[in-house]
Amino acid sequence: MTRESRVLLLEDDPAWVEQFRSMLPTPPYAICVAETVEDATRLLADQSFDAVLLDLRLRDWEEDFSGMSFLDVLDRAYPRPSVVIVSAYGQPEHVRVAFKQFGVTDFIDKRKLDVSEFRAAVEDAVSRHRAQSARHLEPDEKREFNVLTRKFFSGEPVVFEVPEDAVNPWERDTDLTEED
Amino acid sequence: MAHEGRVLIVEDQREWQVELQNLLQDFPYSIKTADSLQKASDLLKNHVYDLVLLDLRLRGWEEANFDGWELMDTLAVLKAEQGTQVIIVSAYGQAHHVRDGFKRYRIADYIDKKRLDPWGFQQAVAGAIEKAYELRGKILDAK
Repeated sequence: MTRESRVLLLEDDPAWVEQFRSMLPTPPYAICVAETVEDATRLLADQSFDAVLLDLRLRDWEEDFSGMSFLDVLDRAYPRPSVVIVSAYGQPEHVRVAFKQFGVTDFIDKRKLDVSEFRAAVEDAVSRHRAQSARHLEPDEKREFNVLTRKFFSGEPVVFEVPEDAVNPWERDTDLTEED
Repeated sequence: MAHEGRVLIVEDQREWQVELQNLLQDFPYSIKTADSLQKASDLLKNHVYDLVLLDLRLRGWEEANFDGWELMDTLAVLKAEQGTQVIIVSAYGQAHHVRDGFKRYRIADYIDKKRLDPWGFQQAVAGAIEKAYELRGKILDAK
């Protein structure tokens, strides 16, 4: 059985939300929608996603590109989902920063959206994320990491338990230097 | 320390050729310029470059002219064969050029002439030349 592809969609326009849903049918896609960067940040702390579809203009202002600020949040998420930007207003500098600094997997112009290219871009994003996360944490470690991330975003104190016999790496380094 | 590098500036405007050369004058690069698509193609056919700094509008007087883009397929072949890197340096590039540049052609960077920051430009050039060396090493190893 194919695993479901978990997608976080950050989009404020209901008509576009419907459009994306119709292009990414369930199954295999499970889509979670956020209308604001704050909602998306909360969802990201609670759940894990294979890919994020990100609109850039989340308020109806001409100079609004608040979606770009979510790239910073995503950069701190671990494991980090793949990102596809889908926007009608991206400027060359946004595209550059998105690829160069944040490693997005694609940047799609909403005005020229082609359904098969779009689906291929999302599939590619999902499979890249899976290939990458398979190389990282084991499931138990992921769960623990997500709990800590959720606490961090909700303002709860995050406490790391250190075993009593753990070696302080700083002290160990000092010892090695002295031996040299 | 920066690698020695062979750089080709594909740029039709004399003042921009001079500006870019000046920004790179303190580095150990040998720099050639081409002010047209034809001259660039001829140079690329006969010489190996680590980096091509590519302007997109090579007939500056024509709006909506992006003939520099026509070199991208040739440059993709040179990247695969010789490790040649590309930085697009343009004042008129559109979002789809930047997207296709990074996504399809794996360019090293895109620099907007209107916001050119000298230090950032020098870093981008040094990084791209280093990448060209790395990639050429891998290509040679694979042979």
